[in-house]
Amino acid sequence: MPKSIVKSSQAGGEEEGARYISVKIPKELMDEIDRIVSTGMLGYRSRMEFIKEAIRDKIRELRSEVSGEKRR
Amino acid sequence: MISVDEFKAQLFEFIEFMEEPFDAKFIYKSCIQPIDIYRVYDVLQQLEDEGKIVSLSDGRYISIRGALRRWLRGRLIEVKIPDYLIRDVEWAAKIRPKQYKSIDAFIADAIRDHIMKIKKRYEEEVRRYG
Repeated sequence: MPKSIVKSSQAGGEEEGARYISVKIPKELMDEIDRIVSTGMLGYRSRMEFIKEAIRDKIRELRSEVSGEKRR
Repeated sequence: MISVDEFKAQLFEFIEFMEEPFDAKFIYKSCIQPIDIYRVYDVLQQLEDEGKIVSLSDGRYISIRGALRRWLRGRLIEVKIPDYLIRDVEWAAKIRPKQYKSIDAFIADAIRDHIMKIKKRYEEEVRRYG
């Protein structure tokens, strides 16, 4: 998977010492995120907050799917 | 003297990844070996007929790959994601390799799903609290 590390420091919480990787996202999705953030829908304050939660949510979903498959 | 097929292959290799349009004169001037400008026009016509390049209305050409890359560049936005999250994404992509062919594809899918959820949750809250 191609990736490029672009930054190596950011202060605060779990971000401390985090390195950043550039990914490309379709513009229409970004426009939709901006619309949600600007209307204050469910309290999102920034694009990144939204994107991070989206990723975490998806990972959680996959983890529970995988553990369900293992149990079966 | 270079054969037409060889010249065509070399020309295509030269322009395939070029994202800027070019014209026959540019190709002619870029040739190291002496070549007839009419041969350049002929080969460009052949490449166009083969669907490898497209001709623009101003007499310039662009390769299909170059045009697509140019078009995609305007439709993709770069964002920077912390690597601890990328590590999780890589794990997920390994679990579902057919579904997620790249980190970008996984993240776009995660965002799409999340937008749907958020909208649904928002509509429910509006219905409940007005």
